[in-house]
Amino acid sequence: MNNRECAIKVKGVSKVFGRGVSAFYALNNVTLDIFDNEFFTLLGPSGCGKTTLLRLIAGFDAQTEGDVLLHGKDISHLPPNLRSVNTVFQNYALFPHLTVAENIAFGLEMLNQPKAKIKATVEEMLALVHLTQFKHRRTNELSGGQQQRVALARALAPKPEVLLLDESLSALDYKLRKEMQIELKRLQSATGITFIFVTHDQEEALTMSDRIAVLSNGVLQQVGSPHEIYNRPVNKFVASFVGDSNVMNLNEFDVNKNGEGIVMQYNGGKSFQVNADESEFCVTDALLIVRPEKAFLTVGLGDAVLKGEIYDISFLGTDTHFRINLSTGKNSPKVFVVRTQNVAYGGCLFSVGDHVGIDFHPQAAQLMLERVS
Amino acid sequence: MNKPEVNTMLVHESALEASIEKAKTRRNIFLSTPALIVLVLAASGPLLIMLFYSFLTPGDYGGVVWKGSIEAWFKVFMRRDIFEGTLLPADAHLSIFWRSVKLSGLTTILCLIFGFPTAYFIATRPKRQRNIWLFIVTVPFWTNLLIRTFAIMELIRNNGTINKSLQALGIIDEPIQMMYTDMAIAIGMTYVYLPLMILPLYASIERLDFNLLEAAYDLYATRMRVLRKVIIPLVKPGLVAGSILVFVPSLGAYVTPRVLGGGMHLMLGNLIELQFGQGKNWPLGAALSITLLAIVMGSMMLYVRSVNQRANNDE
Repeated sequence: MNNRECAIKVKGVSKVFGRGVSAFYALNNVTLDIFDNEFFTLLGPSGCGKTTLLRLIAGFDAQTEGDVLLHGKDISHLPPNLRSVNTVFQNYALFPHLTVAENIAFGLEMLNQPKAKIKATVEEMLALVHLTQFKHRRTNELSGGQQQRVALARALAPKPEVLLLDESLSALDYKLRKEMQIELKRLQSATGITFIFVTHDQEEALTMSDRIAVLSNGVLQQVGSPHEIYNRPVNKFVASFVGDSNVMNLNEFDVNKNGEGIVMQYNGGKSFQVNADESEFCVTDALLIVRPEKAFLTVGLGDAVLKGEIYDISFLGTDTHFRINLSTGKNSPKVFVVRTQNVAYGGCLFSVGDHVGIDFHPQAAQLMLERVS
Repeated sequence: MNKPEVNTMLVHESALEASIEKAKTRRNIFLSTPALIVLVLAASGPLLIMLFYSFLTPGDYGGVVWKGSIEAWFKVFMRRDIFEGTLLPADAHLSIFWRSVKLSGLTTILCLIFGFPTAYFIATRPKRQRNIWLFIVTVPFWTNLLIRTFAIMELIRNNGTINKSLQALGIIDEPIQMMYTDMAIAIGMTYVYLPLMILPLYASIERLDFNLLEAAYDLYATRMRVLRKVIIPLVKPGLVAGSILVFVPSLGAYVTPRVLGGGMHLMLGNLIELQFGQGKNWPLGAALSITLLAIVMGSMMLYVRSVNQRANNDE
């Protein structure tokens, strides 16, 4: 991957609002490489700085520190109209006084392209987003999904080096959002343009992205493929923001070390071994992460890793969520979530109040140091 | 409707909606009745009386004699040479018409030039500050028009503040003649009518989605082109409303041209006043008033049409 060319290079970028005591770091020393022809997603909760970063790349705001490079060229101090970067806005920001075709032609006209070329590009874009028969409509006569596609076509028409998408699907309903996710992927591979997509929806990020950057409180937490982010989260924040996680403190376990890893036992249950670097995980502030779908329920209590009582069952169609109060052996209560896929035809085997065992493969458990950031 | 069947309800849903819509319209007409009564009694009525008077003969000491005549309308446009009795165009009247239109147009343009940046500035302030700025803009309305006009006079007369300051600074030796010129009238009217331009413009700009400006800027538009291609087309309703609100009262302005133009630079309002006062020719005054109305309506139609045409050409 490293030999791929960088479309956008973000170097040590910080953005500070306010001064002195009230200074607020919207972005704190973020460094990122976004490669050519990549579907890259900035993921994080609202207020994490993902939109701020997008606005810095677009040129609407200026960073307090650091540089933004577009294909090796420093664009930090260029205004938006001199950057070969286009934005699809969250509320689309379509020009209400222009028709669909005129909206798409806007950027091309501002670049002073010849009329014939503009006309050809507009037709090409209309076909690309399947809106040819709507070209003479006003934008307020279109549905949300259609407006979304006009916004995409308008931003893609000038063939920018990078396309920025700011929470572009959040205004659409569930079904339409699913369709547009596939549509966006298709457009990205059809045009070969680098897409930088901002979202707070982890499912959306996993579905569409080649790589994801997870941000929290203006700090970059992890960058990686959807697989890496989901299966190897680097900290508690990523583990609980991307997908659900059962997070347990290592000090809740009886811990023994042998040569290969750490052997753990919970309140007299079955012991299991997690491979880890001993020296790193002998500390008490380590965490054990288990994804709910990687654990399963057992009727027999004897051989289970954890034991407890079901206090809630939610049926979600494809899955069922079990919330279990663990028998901790101490006074402090602890909840563990197990998700099972509803593959069987019959009803649910368990009911609220059942005493069950919980088991998981040792490899499903991940140890990490608790890093507060 | 007595408990209709469910099916018929579905079928007639659109018909029902239409009838509700009609009922609403009826109620709204009812709501507008007071305004309609005022309009009929206070605007259309007097207008008809004026029209009627313009076809009568002037009385010797003002008022009218109840004898039909088209002399007044004739005098609006033509005059008879005193000695030879030949027909000539009423060039005094025509030059006053022209000056009125010219100065009103100039005032409208000046108000646009000064008003647009001001309105934009106010609309882009934080919400709380906006009301303070709007308040400041409307403060001049609290003072009598005559007093404001005399204040302008104090500034621009030969011994006024501007000339005195410039002379004290040694920039000029002789005072610049600003009073009693067309320019003085235009400046005075701009000052008086500027809030009427700022307020509707502000209302339009305030409703503008500033994301659209970012979108245009992002799509390679320079700042000038953002203004021309996005801001102006979108605030056009405010632009048109403001221009009409400034242009129309400017055409009929009376106090400002009287004070700042002296007796020499008459506008239509002064001419009409003259006929009802010293001139003692009420029918001619009435005919001139109707002419003013016609000029206003004609200008408005031309203006609105040209604005729409320009918008169409841009597309």
